[in-house]
Amino acid sequence: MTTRAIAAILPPKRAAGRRRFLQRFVRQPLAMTGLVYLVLIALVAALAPLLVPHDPNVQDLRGVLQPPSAEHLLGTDELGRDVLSRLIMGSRVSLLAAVQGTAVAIAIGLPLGLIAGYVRGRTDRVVMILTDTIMALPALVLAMAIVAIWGPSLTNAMLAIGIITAPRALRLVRGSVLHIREETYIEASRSIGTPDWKIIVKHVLPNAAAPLIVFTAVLAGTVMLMEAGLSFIGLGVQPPEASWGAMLGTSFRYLSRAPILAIYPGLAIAVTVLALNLVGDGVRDSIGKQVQR
Amino acid sequence: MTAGPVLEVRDASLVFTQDRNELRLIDHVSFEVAPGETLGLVGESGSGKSMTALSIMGFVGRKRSQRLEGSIRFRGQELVGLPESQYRKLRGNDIAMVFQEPMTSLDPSFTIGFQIAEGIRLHQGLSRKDALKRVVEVLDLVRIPQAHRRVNSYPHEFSGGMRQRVLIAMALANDPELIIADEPTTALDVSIQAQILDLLGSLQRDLGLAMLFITHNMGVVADICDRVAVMYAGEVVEQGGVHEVFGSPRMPYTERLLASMPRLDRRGELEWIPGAPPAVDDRPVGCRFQPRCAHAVQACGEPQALRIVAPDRLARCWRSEELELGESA
Amino acid sequence: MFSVLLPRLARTVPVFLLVTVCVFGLTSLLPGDPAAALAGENPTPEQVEEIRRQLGLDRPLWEQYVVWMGKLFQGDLGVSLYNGQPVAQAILGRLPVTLSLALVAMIFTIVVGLLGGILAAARRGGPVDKVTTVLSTIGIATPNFWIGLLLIILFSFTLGWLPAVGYVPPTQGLWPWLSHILLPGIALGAAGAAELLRQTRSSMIDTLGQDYIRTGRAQGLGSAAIFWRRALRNASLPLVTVAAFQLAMLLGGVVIIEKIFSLPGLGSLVIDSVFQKDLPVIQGVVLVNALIVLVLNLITDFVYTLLNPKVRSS
Repeated sequence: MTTRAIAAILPPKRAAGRRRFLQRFVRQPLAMTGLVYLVLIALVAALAPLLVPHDPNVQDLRGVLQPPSAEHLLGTDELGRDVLSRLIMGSRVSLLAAVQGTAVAIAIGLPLGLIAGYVRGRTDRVVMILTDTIMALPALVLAMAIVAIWGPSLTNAMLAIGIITAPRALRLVRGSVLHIREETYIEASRSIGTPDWKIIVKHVLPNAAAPLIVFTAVLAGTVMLMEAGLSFIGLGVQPPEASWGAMLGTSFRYLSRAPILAIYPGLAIAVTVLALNLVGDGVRDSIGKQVQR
Repeated sequence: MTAGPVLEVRDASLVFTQDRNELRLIDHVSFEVAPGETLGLVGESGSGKSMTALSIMGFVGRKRSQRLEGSIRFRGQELVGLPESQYRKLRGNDIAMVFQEPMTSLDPSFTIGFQIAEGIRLHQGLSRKDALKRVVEVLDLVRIPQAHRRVNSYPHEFSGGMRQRVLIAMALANDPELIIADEPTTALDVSIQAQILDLLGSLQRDLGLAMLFITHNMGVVADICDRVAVMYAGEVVEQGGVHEVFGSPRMPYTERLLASMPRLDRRGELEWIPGAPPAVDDRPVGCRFQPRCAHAVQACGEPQALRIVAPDRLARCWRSEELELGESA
Repeated sequence: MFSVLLPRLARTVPVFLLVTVCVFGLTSLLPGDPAAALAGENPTPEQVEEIRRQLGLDRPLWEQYVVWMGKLFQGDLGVSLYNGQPVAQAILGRLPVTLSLALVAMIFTIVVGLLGGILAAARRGGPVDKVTTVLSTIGIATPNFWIGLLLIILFSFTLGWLPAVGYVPPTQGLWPWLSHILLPGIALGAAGAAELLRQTRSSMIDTLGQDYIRTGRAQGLGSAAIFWRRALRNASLPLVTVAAFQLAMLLGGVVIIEKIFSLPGLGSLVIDSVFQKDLPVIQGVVLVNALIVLVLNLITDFVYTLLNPKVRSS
């Protein structure tokens, strides 16, 4: 009887949970496939300059829009550049952009969500109204407007996307915190005089982490899609650099002549986002029932 | 009314196939319920009593991995192997069931009047007005105040005890001959339990219903049942009239169950049965209660049959006659 | 019921005001001097100052905001910097196109999402379920403009069944209108359909496992009655929120779809005005869009209240 009462006051064991989580995760084929793919594509992005068969920026105006051949495995684009090389280099840009955007969103959303959820009161209300406002504005259009004002560049685009998607992260964190702060071990910690910031860092944060990790994977996917959208219309990455989205954008102009150019970059984006979603799902399914709410 | 039993279960077994293992969740169970009588089906969790109820209703035992063997006859009609379309005509009509969790057993999106009327219109083909009249009738029967108004109320506007009354009303709506009540009071407060049992008892008397009452609580059995069948590890181990079984149990398990009932006229520690019932896939070859039985001897290792030990008394223990169990001992 | 909606309405007002502040604030973020830009070649400082006074740009910021809001309520959204056309008029002119697109996308999302999810839940574990789950997982990950491109390649270039560009108003015939709006509508609605399908399936499966479904079976109700009446009713509650969210997302997605299919709607207006730095137009569109989203949220709450008796009767 008393052991159960004591257990309610102690924070949940984390080390054992972590091992079980990993065990469960590796047993999910879809999630593991996603993870493997992500690792591979990250490697490709990191080693891109070494992997490209041709210089992605070299133009050959006599050999534009060529179909796949031994020389150019995926053919050439409208300026005679090797598609495969551009695709590989593009992975760098796309992945980096996704990381940037996600990082901005979390950097804004996490602390604000923690504070709003823990402190509540007027701070919380103000934060929520701000969040509601941003979420009421159309995401892509807002991003476009911001980028138009600051000037089109990849960094500006990712900053804009990060700011726009931060409210979602904030809401998620806040929701978790609202739940966690009701736990008995928080109360116990407070009653012995632990300062608020310490409670947040030591107790609230690790327990809010799990759903946040799931969300991060999905968020990265969303950010990637948004960057692709912006780059598609030319507001994201600027030439000669190209992300997959930008490649899709230029392929659009030559759609009737070389439709296959539209397939590769789109496929790359779709598969990567899919992998992110699968990993996110896998993490979510591997969390023990006691942590998942 | 036919003179024969309303419900006749003969050698019913629920066979669950998993990885080429056959597990018998209920094992050659036999009992009868006569018209106007309440039979208590009593046992611990995992004894198979709920599975028996679900088998009778046709909710389990209708897949290849979950076979029902033996015979279950309702008013002479064989239920095992009955096509689903015909089963549906019986459910909620001739055989009705009341479940354990009143809080979650009603659809929150519809009024209780609508939900009860659905069953009435299905089986009796009445118009909406006539069906509603019948709904008010049965709600009155279960003593829900202001029935004509509460017909339009939603489940969340009722307390647990009231919701159970509504579910009982639902069961009675089409004048069933048999009601199966699966632990209908377990999830309720003690004071409400008494009310509901009282209600069930008087309803059964007034309407002449046959009732199969499933519970793990011997005290409730004493309260409301005419006869009792005790189940253990998927088998019926004792059967007979309530007075007789309670007065002189013929099977050690029954005796232990009775002894573990808290009573006002007895002081001292509560008695309890050491150990736990065997898992479905790990049952002893002989008597299944043997590992926990105080009177076990060598010969208990042989499979035990359910024998007639006295008029209308069955027990699954070869030592029934020689052991002196119960209060009279 | 209204006791629930009024506080909700009250909460929407400050959000809307804040939205207007943000939109108005976009102006001040723009580098450069709009008055100088309008003054033409080599203006004298006096000319620039004159224009500035005319535009009201010499007043304090908050006063400009109030004036702007005043004009807003009169339906005056300003004038395009690019072609001098009143913004409100430009928006109204393009609204039917975007609304057509959104309508088709919405119908596609709801029909495919709901029916697909119901079907998958009803035949859970079967081949239908597996196929729809795979398709919906892929659908969520795919950029909608890529789907648009693929649809064009397949249905316009390869099969030649449907046109790839342009818009035809329904007044010129139902089929011409439909044939032009069908592909973009599907492209726009696909992601939403995929998400709605997943949620519907999940919600239905949850509901089907509830105790009251068991009660229905005990009453002798057939699976059709149980499924379509009791299960669906309860499962649809959370779906209202999901559907509304997806519909709100639609408005963001129109932008690129309109560009790809050359539809003269609000989306292409936004793209053009962004490249032309035509701020009043951008402001106008963002504002209208936000307003629609907020109204949509209110409608969602209303519908939710209707469906949920617990909220209704309390």
